[in-house]
Amino acid sequence: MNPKIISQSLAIVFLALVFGAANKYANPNSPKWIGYYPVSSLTDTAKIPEAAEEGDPPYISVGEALDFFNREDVMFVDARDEWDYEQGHIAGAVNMPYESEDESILEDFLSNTPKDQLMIIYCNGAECDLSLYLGRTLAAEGFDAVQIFFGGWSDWTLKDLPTQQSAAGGAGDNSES
Amino acid sequence: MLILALRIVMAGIFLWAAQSKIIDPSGFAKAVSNYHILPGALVNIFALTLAWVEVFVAFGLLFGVWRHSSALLLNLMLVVFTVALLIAISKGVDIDCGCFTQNPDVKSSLWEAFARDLGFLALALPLLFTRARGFLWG
Repeated sequence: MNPKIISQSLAIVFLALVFGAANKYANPNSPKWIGYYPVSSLTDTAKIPEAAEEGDPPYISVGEALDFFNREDVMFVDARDEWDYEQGHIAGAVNMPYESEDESILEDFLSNTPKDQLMIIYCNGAECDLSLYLGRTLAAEGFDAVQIFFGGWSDWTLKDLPTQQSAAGGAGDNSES
Repeated sequence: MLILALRIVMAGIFLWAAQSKIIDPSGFAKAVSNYHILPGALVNIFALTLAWVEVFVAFGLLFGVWRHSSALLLNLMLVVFTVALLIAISKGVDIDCGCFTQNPDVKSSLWEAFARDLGFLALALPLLFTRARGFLWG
């Protein structure tokens, strides 16, 4: 086979990679470079807390949470306290301890986060309503892209999805998640 | 003349196929992941890149720039797509093709997509055997 054809084909693929990268940064609807996909697809339905009310931010399942996790523009927000967060959290998540006595944490978070930031709020799971309260607070403050992953930490770890220990970005940290 | 017509038709099909993947790269990555063929870590890079390979191959065919490489990549992609569909069909999984739309509400059968790809292959294969000098086996 003509070697020129091979090199031209490789050049086309390389050019495509460059344009793919450009599109990734220009298009908010883009995946991360390296996604996480489990061996079998997750097909559960969203868990809804008993205290749920009409008008709450949407509740999502662990499968949907993973879909968001694989996107570039999403921020996972851990509503548990610092200690829980440091023991382990969803990889890339920021900590916004809802029950903290230090009110400046919430204020900083509110002022440092764009209103249209896509956010997935979670806490421990079934026994924890912090995600619900934080989600409602954010929605009331005008954040309109908030969703609640009520299955939270317990569902995430049950499915063996990517986690992280220690502090990697605190409240109001909007760095890449 | 026939070859030119085939080039234009295939270019049109691939540009059409590329646009949904460029508009919704996340959706396409999800569709790719559902096939469970590629290692998870490669899915997103593949999805981000493939759409633009389709675009450049289409342009190559349309404007006759590097059209032999374009024809090669065109056939290569079609073979990969066809094999991927066959694997998905043999696993019996219920997934979306991801070929022309990333809207999960648009349901199409994998068999249909497979048959369609065979048809495309029949149209694309002749482009590999044009008489142009220095091409493939020339």
